[in-house]
Amino acid sequence: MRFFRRWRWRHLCGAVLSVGLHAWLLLEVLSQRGVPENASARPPVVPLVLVSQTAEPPANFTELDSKTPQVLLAGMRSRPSVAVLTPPLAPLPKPRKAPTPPKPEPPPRLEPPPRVLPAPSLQSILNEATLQHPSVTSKASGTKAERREVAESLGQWIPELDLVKLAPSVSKEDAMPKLSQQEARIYRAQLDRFFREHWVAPLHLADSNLVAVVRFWINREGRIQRWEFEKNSRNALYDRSVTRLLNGLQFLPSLPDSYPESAYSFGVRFSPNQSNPISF
Amino acid sequence: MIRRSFSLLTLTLLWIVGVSAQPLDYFEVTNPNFEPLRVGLESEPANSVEALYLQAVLKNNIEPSMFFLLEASSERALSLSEGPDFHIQLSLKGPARNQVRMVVRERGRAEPIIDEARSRTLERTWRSIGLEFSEQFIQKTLGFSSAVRSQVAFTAQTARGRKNIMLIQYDGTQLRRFSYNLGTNNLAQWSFDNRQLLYVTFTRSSAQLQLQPSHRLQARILSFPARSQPLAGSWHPDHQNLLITLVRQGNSDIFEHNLQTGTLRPLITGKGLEASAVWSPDGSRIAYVSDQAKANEPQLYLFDPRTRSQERITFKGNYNSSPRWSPDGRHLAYEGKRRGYFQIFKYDLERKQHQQLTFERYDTEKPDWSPNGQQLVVSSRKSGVPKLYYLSAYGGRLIRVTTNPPEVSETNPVWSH
Repeated sequence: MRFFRRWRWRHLCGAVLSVGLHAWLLLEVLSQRGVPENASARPPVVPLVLVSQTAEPPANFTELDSKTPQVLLAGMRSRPSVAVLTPPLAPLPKPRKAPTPPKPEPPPRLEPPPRVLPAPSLQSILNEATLQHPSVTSKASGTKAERREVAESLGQWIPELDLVKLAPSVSKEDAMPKLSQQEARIYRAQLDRFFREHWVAPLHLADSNLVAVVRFWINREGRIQRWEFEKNSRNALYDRSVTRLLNGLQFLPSLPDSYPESAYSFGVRFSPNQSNPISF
Repeated sequence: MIRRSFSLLTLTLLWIVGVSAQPLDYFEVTNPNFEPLRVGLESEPANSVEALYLQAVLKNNIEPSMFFLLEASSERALSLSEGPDFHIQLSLKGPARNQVRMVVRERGRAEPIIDEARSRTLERTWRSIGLEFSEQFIQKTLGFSSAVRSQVAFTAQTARGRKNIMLIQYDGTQLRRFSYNLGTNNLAQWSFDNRQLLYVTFTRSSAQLQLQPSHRLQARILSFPARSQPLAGSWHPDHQNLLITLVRQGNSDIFEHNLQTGTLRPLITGKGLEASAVWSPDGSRIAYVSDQAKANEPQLYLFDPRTRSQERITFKGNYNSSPRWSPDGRHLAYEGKRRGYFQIFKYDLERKQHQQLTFERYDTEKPDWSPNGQQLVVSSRKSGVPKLYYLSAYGGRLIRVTTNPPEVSETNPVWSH
């Protein structure tokens, strides 16, 4: 009897502890996954939008506007195809909520909402340092005069040291932070998949070594603010195929959630290296 | 001590500044979708017989190049966003409409890229004018020469007839029989100067190699030692030497035969069966097929006659055969059996990479290169009976070459150089 009492209490405690832990774990998983309430009613919207060359987006343009002619909404596809567009490691863009009626006047937000960085990269840490100590890393935020002032003051303190320029002088736009290695890998896969789906090049150039480099300026959501040829391929037909692709583009895959800035500039090298079978 | 700490601090600051000013991210985008260029075609007057015939000649010689799709459209379509890439305008003029002018415009360019006029004479027919225009158009738009003057030799056989060597023009016209004898003729090979064709004639008792000028119907039979049967032959670029596959005592080896001296010397011999030997265009190497690694599983090899060294180049699949050199000697096209069907492959000798060009669930075999190296002609069982098709050197769709009846089988095509 004594033996039974002792082990029964232990079993009971163990069971209670186990149930509690499981419940806590389940709650944590559910709260972090963030399953949208209307997921079954409407597929999530991925902001990849291809429009015709001449079509201008209407003022009240939204990504759910499926009635707009010649507008392809990748997000309007069925759920499995959207899952194919996004690699498993990529953070899925959170579904936008349906437009709500305008409120009277929301109070101005004094502070930006806290952003959760799951795995901060070295670059993001450095960016944080830049924001907190603008005078130290005046490259990103200061003017030329401020930079010269810092350099001269350092030179006064250490007379025997020559300040060496580590990187060429870059404009404010060039100084945009880069994606971390993992983010860049995921974003590259998204871009490659996206462009490969829409880019049509002349067949006779399939084995050529042509390269056209295009620079993009996009915002967080992937909307293209500007693009320009950084380097032409010197083949008119090839460059035209790239131009034809980009003229109809308004959106690219959105930036990863962990990217700290509101805009991003990057380059894309278009080359027709053919490793996949050709079918048409 | 203070100086050291300041130096350290300075270096740290410079490192931070340097890191924050890194260059841009660059992403590589490859493997686009490939499509032929669209060409609008228009003639004036639109309904004249001469204009329609010229349009047909242009269409039959430009579209088989695999890089263009011709469609009827006006010049205004060039300015549309979904319009063609090029526009060809044919204008017939003169008292008997015997003068034609071709104007080719490119999208985005104000001036025409071709503006040529021709007059029809007794020597210059509408067909020859159409061929000239086709050559000009391909050369100007794609930057390489066309194959419109080339011919394809192949083996044709009706349901109960013998096999014979046939010749056909690039655009699928002017089909004619080339071999006239009582045997079964097969495995034709063009000489590098296109003046002669070598083919094998099988009779009930023996096999013979025949040499026949491409413009004559009289062939010359090559003789070989007793108890040896020639299986096939191919040309050396100097037109004087042949590579002959001879079967002796149940084993096939590759010999070099000099046409002037009549000498025959063994070149590639071994325990396995060696066959299908072809010289590279510069005459420095030989590609051949052998089952020396495993019996009844032929693979491709390269042989260097100077060093007498050989190199195996195919390892996937248990049946790879029919190697053919590209005109520039940089690629080999061959057939390989995958999942029960023969498919066409291309091997890059510099990168040592194989690329599969066809993926269908029927046999596609016996590839050979066009003179410009941009196309292949193959024999495919797309409709059950083997027929000739054009295939681009990068894969894609198949375009039928001939218009023979369905029961005529067409195999072993070889393209003139």
